[in-house]
Amino acid sequence: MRFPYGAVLFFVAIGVFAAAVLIPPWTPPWQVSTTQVGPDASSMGLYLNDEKLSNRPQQPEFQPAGLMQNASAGGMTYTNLQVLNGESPAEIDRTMQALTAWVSPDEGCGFCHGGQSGPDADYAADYPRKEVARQMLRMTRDVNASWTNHVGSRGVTCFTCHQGKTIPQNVWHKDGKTHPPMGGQLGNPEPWHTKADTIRNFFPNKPYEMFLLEGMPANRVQTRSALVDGTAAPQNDIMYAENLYILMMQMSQGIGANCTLCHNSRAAFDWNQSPPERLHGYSGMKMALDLNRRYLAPLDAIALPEARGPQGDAAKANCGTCHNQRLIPAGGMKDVYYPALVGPLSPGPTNQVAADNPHIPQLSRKPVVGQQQGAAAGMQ
Amino acid sequence: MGFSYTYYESFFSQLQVRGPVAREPHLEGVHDRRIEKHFFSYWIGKIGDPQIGPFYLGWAGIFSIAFGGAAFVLIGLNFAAANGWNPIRFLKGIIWDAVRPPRASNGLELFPPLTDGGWWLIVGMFTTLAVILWWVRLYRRSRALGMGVHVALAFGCAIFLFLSLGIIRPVLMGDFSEAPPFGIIPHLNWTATVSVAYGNWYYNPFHMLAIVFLYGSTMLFAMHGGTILATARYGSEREGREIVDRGTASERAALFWRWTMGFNATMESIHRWAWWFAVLTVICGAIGVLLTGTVVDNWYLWGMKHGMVPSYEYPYAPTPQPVDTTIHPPVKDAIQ
Repeated sequence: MRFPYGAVLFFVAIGVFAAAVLIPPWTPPWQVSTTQVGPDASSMGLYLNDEKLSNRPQQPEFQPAGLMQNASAGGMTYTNLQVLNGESPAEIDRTMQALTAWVSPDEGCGFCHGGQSGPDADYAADYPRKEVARQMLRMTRDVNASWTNHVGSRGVTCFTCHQGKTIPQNVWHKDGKTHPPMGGQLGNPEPWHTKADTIRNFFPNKPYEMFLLEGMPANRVQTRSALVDGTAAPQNDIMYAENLYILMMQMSQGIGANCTLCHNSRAAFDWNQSPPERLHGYSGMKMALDLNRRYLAPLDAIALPEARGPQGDAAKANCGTCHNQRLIPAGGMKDVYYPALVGPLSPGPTNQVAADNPHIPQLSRKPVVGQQQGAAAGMQ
Repeated sequence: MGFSYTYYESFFSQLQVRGPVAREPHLEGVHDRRIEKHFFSYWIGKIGDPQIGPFYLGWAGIFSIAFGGAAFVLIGLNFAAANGWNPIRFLKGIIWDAVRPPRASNGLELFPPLTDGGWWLIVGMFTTLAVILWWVRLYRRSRALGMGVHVALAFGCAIFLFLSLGIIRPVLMGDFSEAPPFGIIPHLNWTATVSVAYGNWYYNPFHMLAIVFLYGSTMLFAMHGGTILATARYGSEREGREIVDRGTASERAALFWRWTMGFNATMESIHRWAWWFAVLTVICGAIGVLLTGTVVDNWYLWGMKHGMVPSYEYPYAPTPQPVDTTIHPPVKDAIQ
């Protein structure tokens, strides 16, 4: 008997093959749970990836020096301290062990200390990676001391971003400069990341550069008046709007949540109907901007080749660098406190967002775990 | 023996007859020569008339295809060049690539750099010429066959929406960058951005009407197609004849709809329903497009102003807008 549907099957097979090649992997719906976060009928559901949340990387913990079995008992004397001066040698020992386990578990101490290891190594000698590590420590200490309005009492550790890798999985660089072929006359290449494994990772890094490095205002897309009233739109540029939109997509990709975590999507601009989570997102954007400008962009001068992008700039942070697609990042100081990772605390608001917005209670938390709990509470 | 589809024949399941080419009726007006080639296809016969050709192109058709082909090839060449002429990268990038309109700072500049909107203007002009010449061809062929020009009018409405998006609104806004890019994902991104930038396009009442007519069109299409197929066994596929001489097929179809929803269109009016629903989709869409940014800047606030937007009881207190006093000087390019 003649099989009559050969042509149909052929085209279905072509379609399935094309879909498999062209469509990147995505989170299947059965791994996503829905929680209503807004009023009824407002379509405000929070969609979280259950599998991602249940597979949280476990941070290797190191108990405080006094509790440790094999404490080096002050056998090490530290010289050439530029960041951790003021900490006890035992605490520095502990911090160095933890830091190595979090950042370079395979490479060991020598990753930053010029390939040396063991008790006889010259740990005081300076190396380029050690200088980068100092900057990383400065940044971590600043985050935990000054940006508590975003990281709260949990704070961050090296493990939050690094998770056992010497370069965190999610960092960004400036996009490579595109050169249209044919003497620049034909075919402006799109800056998509064609090696990306999710659709949102396809997006270019231009929005990071605009909003998380240059600090361009992100509130100038939607007008605040119904009708065109003679005043120019605050930002009459569709590409500017599109780049902000892409930043929002990248942000939601980075923290593993959807728009309605922070916005009532019917009026994205309107703070009045936005869930309070939007304040965390806002301070997070400001924190990423601050860290990129003060700590990561200056690494352009000393970063090693593997941490440089197509334009030669050092790796920089975005939401996904710490969050890694999780609403609450892995690691941090939930149960075990690492005082060397917290910079000097000062009374009063410690960053511009907190200083400008004293009326926002979410923006004035202090660390509440570990030995500095009393001191932090006393400062309030 | 009961009814069997296997032996059932109507105009819809016609026997595929091979014979002399079907000639046209008497033509009115001026017309060019046809391409006197034709062939039969068994598979095409499964979905329509198995006879392909003879073709009528005419000057309008030739230039329409030439301009359309030029636009298609220019877009393809731009995509291929953007991917370094690598066929694999070209295929993988095809849904992501774009020929973009000029940036906002170029305004209505007619001769921007080629890779900064120049190609977009050229490709846009070619596509515009192609669809307008195709419209001319539709109009002239309907006249030549002594038909009404309903098809050409409907296509004209679609062209009106196309041009509203691509040229009329950008010119009203004084800025070609408002227009959508040519490209699959990029034009969808543009759609999402424009909706948000103008305060949520879902509150645009003309967008609402366009959706009503678009979804309504599909529903009418399903209702009408279903009705005719269901009564074809009584001869309803001869729709034109049923209009002037209502038979049992028409009576059954009419009765079906009066029973199920109390009202029935007629064999004639159902086609006007369908035509108007289709045409109003694009007309409403075009009005909505032309009002955005020219008259209305924020459709959500417009909806608030006119009582269209419900207010909700929120499970959280109003979130205060943060104050931002930070001024960021440009980052010095510190790369050595």
